[in-house]
Amino acid sequence: MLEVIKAVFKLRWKYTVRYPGWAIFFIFVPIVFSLIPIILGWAVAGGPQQATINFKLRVGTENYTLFMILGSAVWVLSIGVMWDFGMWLREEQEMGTLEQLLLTPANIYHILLGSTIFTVALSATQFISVILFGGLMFGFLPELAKPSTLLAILYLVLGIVPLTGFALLIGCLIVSIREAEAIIRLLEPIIAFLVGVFYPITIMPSFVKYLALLIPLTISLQDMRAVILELDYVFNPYLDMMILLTYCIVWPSIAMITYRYVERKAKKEGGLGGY
Amino acid sequence: MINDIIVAEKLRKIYRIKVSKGLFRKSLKEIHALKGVDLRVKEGEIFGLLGPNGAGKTTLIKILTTLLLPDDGRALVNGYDVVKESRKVRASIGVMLMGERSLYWKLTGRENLEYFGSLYSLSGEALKKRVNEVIEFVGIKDFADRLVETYSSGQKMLLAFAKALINDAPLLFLDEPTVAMDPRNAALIREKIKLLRDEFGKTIFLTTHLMHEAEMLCDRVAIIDVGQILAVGSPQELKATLRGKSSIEIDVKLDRIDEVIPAIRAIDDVIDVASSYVKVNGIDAVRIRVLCNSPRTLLPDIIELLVKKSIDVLYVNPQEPTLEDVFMYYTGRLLTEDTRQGV
Repeated sequence: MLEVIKAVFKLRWKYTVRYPGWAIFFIFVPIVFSLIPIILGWAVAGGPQQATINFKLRVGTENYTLFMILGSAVWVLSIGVMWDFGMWLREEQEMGTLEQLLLTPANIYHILLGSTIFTVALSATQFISVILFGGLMFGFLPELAKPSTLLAILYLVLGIVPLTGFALLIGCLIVSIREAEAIIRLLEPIIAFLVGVFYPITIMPSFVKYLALLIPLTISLQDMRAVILELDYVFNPYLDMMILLTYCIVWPSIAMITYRYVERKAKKEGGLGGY
Repeated sequence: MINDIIVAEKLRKIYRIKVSKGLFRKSLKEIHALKGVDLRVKEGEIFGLLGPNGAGKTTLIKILTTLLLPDDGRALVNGYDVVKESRKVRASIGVMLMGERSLYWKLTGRENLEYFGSLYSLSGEALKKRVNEVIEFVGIKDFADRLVETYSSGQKMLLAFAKALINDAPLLFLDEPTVAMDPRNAALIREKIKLLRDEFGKTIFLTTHLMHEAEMLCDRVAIIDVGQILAVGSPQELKATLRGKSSIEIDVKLDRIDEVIPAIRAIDDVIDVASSYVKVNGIDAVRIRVLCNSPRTLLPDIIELLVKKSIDVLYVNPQEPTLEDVFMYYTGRLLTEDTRQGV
């Protein structure tokens, strides 16, 4: 198992580092992305000071830059994992190598796990880079240098595990349909909206809020902000953790069952080589 | 005693595809890719599956290598059921499928082999040793450390062939192993295939639509067309089924050919006629193949007919029967024809 995971990780690493142009996009886009609502807030409120007062009134913290950058970093993490993993599957399918993987005796879940670990490692690196650069730009790094940050990281990790299941589900969708890119492009803003990248989910209508809570990173993000910026938890720290732990089992299980179904259907209808 | 390393019994595969019938209406069309295929391949032989595009060759190879599930029937490979014991089947076979599309172009050849070796549970020194052995055997040392995207088509095919050998399996499935290759590399692969059987005792199941390749390489050949196995035997046995029949190959300029074929077919003693488009010295031409009992008496009649119809004859060659004639005898067509079932 470890050999297969290592081999897939190494393959993906080589593919990534041989074409390093993406690195610029990798760090700066999320920061620019979070600058938009910050500057928009200044414009609407009539300046940074008024924006701070308004934000404190609505959200409960003055540190809107950390709030936004955290949201933006979590968003790129979620999009990164889902997009990168799904598109890896599609790329393998288009190149013709997906069928080659299925011709080997290696357990397909070990192959998928190897790729997932790489995707998570890449997205986590992006997350850390965004926080570091954002922290240097806006001067909030000292606020992260406290023990409670570790708890925030735990909430993040508990959100990433079910996210990988989510990513595999999207991967299943991608290998089954032609218009995969359109679906992904559609999902990006929907997820940004639901996760609460630029606002707390508490301001959403109830039914939207509960729909948003099906996405693991919604809870992670809300609770990370709760820990670091002393805001409200989704429900309470323990219940939120229990929900995330349940998601850690439920989402990957649903994804594995779905993948098995998609693979079997493809084998009945003509293979995973075409779509 | 020689065992059957591949056994297929009454294998059926039906593809159901959606056909558009107007803006919102769709109907399902069934394509019977395999219609009850029975097949046995003996251990240690080179077995060729010969048929035109769309005959069912790739479907059969995909079922035997566990990429597709049959709708009916069963198949055993190396004694394992392809549906119930698919992982054991995959561990015991080497596969060359889809040629150059089976490779990672942004990796080097060696990295490709190492990667796939890892997926067959090879690691460390054993993996490195096996990769070097395969590189040496196939003769790709000169370019093994270059990125695959810089390879020629022939080099990619050689690497795909090397990849099929990485797990040292007793049974190899090679789907059109020399397709799109230059003659030199194609000859090299054929030579290696023979060596794998003679020196290493491998069983090789290959598909091809090149009858000279099948004749040159295979101990036994199965002729497949529109999802059915029409004949199985050694090339000699298959040719013997024509019992004294011969063929005449005539290349003519591409002109009024539709009139000519029925006219030839109407001549006494002609058993069958088939044609395909070819280039002869840069000229677009049609190759007509006439299967008959006595070419010596028939040839003047055919030439007279062509002259009467003012057809330019480029080349005439009376021949001993080949597998092409066997194929034509069973199907009424040439191997080069595409028999995909239209949608």
